Amino acid sequence: MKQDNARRWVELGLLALLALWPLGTTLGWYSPFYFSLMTRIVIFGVALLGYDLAAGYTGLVSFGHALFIGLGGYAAGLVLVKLAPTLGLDPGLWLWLALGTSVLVSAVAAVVVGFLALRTRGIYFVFLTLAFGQFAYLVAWNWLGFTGGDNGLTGIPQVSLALPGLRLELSDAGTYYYFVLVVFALSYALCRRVVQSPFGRILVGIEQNEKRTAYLGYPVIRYKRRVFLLSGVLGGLAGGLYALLQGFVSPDLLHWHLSGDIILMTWLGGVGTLIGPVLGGFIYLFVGNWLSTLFARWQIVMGLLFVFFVLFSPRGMVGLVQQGWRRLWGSST
Amino acid sequence: MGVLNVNAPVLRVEKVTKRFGELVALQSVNFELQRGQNQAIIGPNGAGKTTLFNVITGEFPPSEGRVWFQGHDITGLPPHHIAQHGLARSFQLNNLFPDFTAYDNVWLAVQIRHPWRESMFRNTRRLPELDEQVWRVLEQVHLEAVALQRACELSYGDQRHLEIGLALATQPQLLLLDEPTSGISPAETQKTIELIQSISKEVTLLLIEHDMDVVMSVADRILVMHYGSVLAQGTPEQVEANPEVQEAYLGDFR
Amino acid sequence: MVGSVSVVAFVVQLLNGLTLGMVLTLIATGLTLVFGMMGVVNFAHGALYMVGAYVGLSLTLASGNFWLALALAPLIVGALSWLIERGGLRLLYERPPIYQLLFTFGVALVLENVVEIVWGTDILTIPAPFHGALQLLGVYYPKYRLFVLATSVMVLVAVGLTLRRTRFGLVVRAGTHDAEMVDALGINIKRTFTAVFVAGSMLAAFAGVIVGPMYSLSSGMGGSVIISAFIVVVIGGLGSFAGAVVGGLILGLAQVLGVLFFPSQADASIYAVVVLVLLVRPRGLFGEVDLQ
Repeated sequence: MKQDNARRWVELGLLALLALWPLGTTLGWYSPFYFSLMTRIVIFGVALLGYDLAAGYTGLVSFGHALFIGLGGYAAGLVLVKLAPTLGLDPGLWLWLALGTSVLVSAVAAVVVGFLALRTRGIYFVFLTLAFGQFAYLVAWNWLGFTGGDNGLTGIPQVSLALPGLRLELSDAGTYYYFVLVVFALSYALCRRVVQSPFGRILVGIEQNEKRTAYLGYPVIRYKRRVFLLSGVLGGLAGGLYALLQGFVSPDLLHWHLSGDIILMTWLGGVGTLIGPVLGGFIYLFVGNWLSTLFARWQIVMGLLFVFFVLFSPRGMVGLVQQGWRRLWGSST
Repeated sequence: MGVLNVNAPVLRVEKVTKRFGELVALQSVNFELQRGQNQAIIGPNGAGKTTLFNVITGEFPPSEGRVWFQGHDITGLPPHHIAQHGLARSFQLNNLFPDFTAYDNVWLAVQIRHPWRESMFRNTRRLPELDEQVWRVLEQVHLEAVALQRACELSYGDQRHLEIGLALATQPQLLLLDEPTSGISPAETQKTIELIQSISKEVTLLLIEHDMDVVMSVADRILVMHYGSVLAQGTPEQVEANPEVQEAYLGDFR
Repeated sequence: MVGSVSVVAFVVQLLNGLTLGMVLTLIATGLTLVFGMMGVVNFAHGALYMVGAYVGLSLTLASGNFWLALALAPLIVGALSWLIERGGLRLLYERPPIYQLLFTFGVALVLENVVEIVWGTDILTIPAPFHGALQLLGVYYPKYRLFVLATSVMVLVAVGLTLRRTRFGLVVRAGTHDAEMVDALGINIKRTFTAVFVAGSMLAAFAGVIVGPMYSLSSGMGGSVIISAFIVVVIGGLGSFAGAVVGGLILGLAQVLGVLFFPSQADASIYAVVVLVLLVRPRGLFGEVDLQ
């Protein structure tokens, strides 16, 4: 229970930090660049939460999370560029349409890929998810007429968000940041709920001993597909948010390099902890950015840390913090 | 699930044959198990005992024959489906959740009978009824003292008990135990025998065993297997007196 | 004569495809045998190919002798791969196989960065040891490319003979079938595995150097090659040398000829084929390792 309380304080603290972040720019502590960087980190956080549910808790380590992020990005982008203007809707609703499509498209992809790939395990699952992702990448890269080819989909408009009684101009960086932060907070709360639920227990059971989980009576493959769906949807949502932030979508959003980055961030921060991967994203993107001002090849530090954690401490940064905590306060749970 | 025929045998194995390529692991195995009747399957290694368990529990389908559980044809169904019907199994080699505590191991088993077993939103900390059930099972298998230790850190004997506990916690109608005392020191075997005896009062048992002490103290009926076929079946006395059995065991029976 | 492609152009591309195929096989051999023996997926294999190329470049520039570089670079990379296997991979054999993948993925990342630090991000080429072209059906075909094709074939034949005719090869082949059994027979399977790991890396490094004058070097070459190697190994079958050869040829020819005939769909179709193979016949054409 103590660990739970400690974690709750950490969660609240981080949320407060994130909520107060824009102040730094207003107070002149740091430039607006760090503002948009933080927006990007929070968006990645949504994708990382999804990945951790599947890979960290259930043991479904895929090399194709970028598929969902990219599909979500293109879906939102295409809706805003090609579809929404023709529908004659109130522009305040465009965002719902765009993000809704992101979610829908990535959900369909997750169901299809899940149905096909989740019958396999280990390296075959890695290869399959990688292949699906690369297939999508190459299709987007070559489809000049629809996706803009290797130039990407440009001209995604800034939108406003129509809420009951309120209209938010998301073209304002601050407003968009808070919007993204709310989405992230809700996603986190959802994932935390799932992890603490009976379903969450089954997921960890599957990761530890899939056979026994089945022999107890649980339809393992059904649950794998379910968590994979949730994972993909969160990835797609992040992709949609990212498209809106950037104003364009490039095929790189589908490339396996992005999947590799997700893996790097996940194990850097600590797999299977929800907070870990998000922290990993922060370390990679934020600290990495800061490091890059010091020396050009900061990535090697990340790579070495990643290798170190894989070898000795899969719970990554979070694991180190937990161990330090235990040493300071004893290990009464 | 249909109307339960109370007079139907709990388990009926009908002419089950299993081939792996050229190898015939099971040859036309036939037997029935009545509710409340505990049966032990004995036989030398390679006789097909675990293969029989695998067919019954759905690990793989038989090449020929059918398996009936409480009047339902479960032949070829996947393991999770059969388990849901109320047929539970423990394994010869410990098949636990290694990083879960003993408590959490049992929790996952107890959870299956709960209507909220796949809920994504309820908080498992707020399910006191499950907590009670978990402790009851832990007490039954004498693991209350080590409940909060990780399964991989338990002593081998405790792990065997947890192995049984997991299957028991799903509240099965029929419990298959695959060599429950295997690897347990003679000193601890008595405790396990007592555990099995207490279980046999609430659940129908089908167990594979090498240890004849266990067999004699628990089984109402014995099934002797040899090279994939049933050599003899009946009460312990009948089986003991069977000349074929005596020949197969070269008099080492008892 | 297909569409607007002349016979000559076709033959030229055929040769290119064969050459690419053989090079891919050189690279994929190490990957597939290592997986077949210990179930290890060496994501760093492509990076080792890349390091071989860059080391070969430096050696060539420093010594002025390409042949020296071709001989030495594989040895250096071999030592590096020995360190990787001994120092890192060995620690992970008891753990779920995904950790080996993650570890080698991390090593690949680190190596990519090391290359960028040492050699920078400009695109470089290894100066060819000789120039000139042969006349082929009225077209000039670079001699060096033919040399690469011929050398690759010879090296692969040597590998094949080693696997078929030597005791070491026998142990390796037995190991890809059943490593436990080989171990039980008292043969030091761990040492054999390390040897295969190192030899495979050396083959990849050799490929890196020999291909250097043909293709340009960049820090991303490791990443793109490993994906191609994965495709070869999936199609050919994990654990099979014959599979690597056939898979390499298929991919090499498909890539080159595909670009010729269906330029825009070529790349994506290859991945569609990979997905199909993985779903319908996961052990590929020649594979015997049945991974779960």
